[in-house]
Amino acid sequence: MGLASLIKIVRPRAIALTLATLFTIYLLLTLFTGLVTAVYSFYDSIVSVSALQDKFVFIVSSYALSPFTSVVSVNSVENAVKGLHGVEKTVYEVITIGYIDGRAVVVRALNSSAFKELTGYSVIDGSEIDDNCFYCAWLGYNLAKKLGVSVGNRITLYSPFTSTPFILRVSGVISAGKPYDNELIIPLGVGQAFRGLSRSQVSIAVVLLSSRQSYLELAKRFEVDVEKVSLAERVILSLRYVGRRVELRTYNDFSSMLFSRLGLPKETLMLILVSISIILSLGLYIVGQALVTLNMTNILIAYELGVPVKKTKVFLALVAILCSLASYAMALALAKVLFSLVSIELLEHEVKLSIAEKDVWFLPVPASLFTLIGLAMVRIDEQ
Amino acid sequence: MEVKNLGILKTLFIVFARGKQISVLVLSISIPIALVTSIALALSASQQQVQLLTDIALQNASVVVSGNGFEVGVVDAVIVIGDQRVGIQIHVVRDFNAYANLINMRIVKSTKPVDKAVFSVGMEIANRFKAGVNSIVLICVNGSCFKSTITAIHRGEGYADYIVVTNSTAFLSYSKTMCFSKKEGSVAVTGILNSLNRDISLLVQLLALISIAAYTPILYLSINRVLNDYGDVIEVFKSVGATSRVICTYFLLLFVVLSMIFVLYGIALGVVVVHIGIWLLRFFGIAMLFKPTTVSELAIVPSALYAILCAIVTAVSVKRLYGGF
Repeated sequence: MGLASLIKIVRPRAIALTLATLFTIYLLLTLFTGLVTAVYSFYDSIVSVSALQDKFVFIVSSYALSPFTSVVSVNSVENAVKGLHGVEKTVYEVITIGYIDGRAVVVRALNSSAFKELTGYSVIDGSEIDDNCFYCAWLGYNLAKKLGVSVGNRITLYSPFTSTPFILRVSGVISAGKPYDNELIIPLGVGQAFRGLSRSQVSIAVVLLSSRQSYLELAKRFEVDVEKVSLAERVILSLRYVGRRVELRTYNDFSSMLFSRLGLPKETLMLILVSISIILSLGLYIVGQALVTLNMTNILIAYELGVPVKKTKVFLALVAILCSLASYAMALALAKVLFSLVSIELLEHEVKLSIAEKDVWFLPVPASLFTLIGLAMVRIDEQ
Repeated sequence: MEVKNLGILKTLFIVFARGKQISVLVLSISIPIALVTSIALALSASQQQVQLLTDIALQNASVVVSGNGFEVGVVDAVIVIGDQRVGIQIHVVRDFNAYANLINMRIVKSTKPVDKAVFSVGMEIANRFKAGVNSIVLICVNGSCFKSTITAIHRGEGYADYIVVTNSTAFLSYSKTMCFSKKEGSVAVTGILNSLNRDISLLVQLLALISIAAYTPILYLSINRVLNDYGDVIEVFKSVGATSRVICTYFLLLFVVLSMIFVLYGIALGVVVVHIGIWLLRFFGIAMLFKPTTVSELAIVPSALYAILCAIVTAVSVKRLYGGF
């Protein structure tokens, strides 16, 4: 009995069903991973500077997950960069959240020259960003469309950090790419007032450096191990930035601190993904069984013709693994296409789902395992 | 005839129970429902947190722009001192002290006493221009410029430091009247929390529905697997005169009841899993502020949809395997 007789056992319908089911589960798992990863990295996408590819960018912040509550002392950052060779510029930004016309929006405040340098924005309508206009606001192109406002309109902006409204005039609509096109830009001083900060405090400091050596030197000054910067270190370091002492208790309360700030380390994220993939893959036990039951007539004929049950099961296991890998590859390919087309909306920002292949290598493991267990549990000899 | 039909139902149930097929339905019905329930409960805990924060925000009052209330004329102007020009907002009010009280603004320097003609500049503006009381500034609005003397410098919360407040009628014709009123709670906090909650809820609902949809092929395979065991019994029923329609109807009835039972089992399983998770977190010293107590409609709606899906899959499978209807 050769391979040809074993191949004849498997009905195309059974293969199609197995492929379809595995594909659907894998697609769900990749979507789930994409969603979790996108939400997890949402805040990082807000603070990161993507336009300056040729520069070394060091961002100083004091948040576990949300930059909207970050407070950085301008003096402490200036002291840290003082005398450091290769510092081209330090840009101070206030990034916070505001409420306008039934929507929560991201409000960003920084100097116009710095904004120009970081984003190379262009004005679609209205005037250039003016640091000396304290009643002016500039809207990202997408946000202006969503709010249905244009240049000259007045908007009432509410801050969660102050109790009085900010009545601002839309002075321009700008195009600066993501994430700025979904944000409201105001002068730095007004932004500090909106966030409830003093003139010597900001949300983040973006230090532009000319070389990797300067970057590493600055990292050393902040006592950051650039090769391994965990969220915990970021949290603890941030406490130093705002000038408070870090006590041993801070380290001991690390877990509760992360959870109280709704922060999740990458390891926890992976644990959640693995758990979900195991739970969702449990049902594939049925697929393993169906691979036998749907081919039972052919299996029994082959058995009558002398093909041993063990050999049939090993062959079906091989088919299951191949189906699993093929479905995974297809699901991953389709997910990537879907991710480029579909996006979710968070705080008026369009968030594209994303997936890192190194994060999803484990997905086929529980799925294939449960399929194989299901296959192994069917008693062919009883039939 | 009714006893006979009930006999069919009873036999179908006995075959199911003896066929050791419970695990198949647990995997294909209860597991996805348990997952959806866990997601729903997690969301319920997050909503409780939102509610608490909203309640806390209610303890503070905030000033809002409303249809009626304290009338404020808002003027966008340019203030010029020496060679410096800055765009500022002037709030023209009839009762200066009442407005100062409304927006928690206090005078830090003034020409005494604060008389009828007050021209109070925010602290940040004054600092920027290094201007003090009695300084003369030029205010330009829509091409017309007025000389004004700073009679006071104020400090306040938020935007107050960046505005000029006056009771001078000179600017009234350039102003747009808006009404400010005090409201319980922080409009921004409540609004932002509700907006975020809405975004997250939509996301989670989408996830719950995707989970249910992804399990449809498994549901189809498992119901087929269970129905396959009925071949001999169907032959017996047909030989004693039962029509395909009757057999199929009772199949459908049995599986609808079974799917509802397994859906309920899934919901219970989800609740238990979440509470075990909370217990484990507490064991490791992480206290959860909120315990999800109620199974929201987020779990109930997909569960009901899944039960309906079970009925449809059963009807399709029975028709394919044994004919009928």
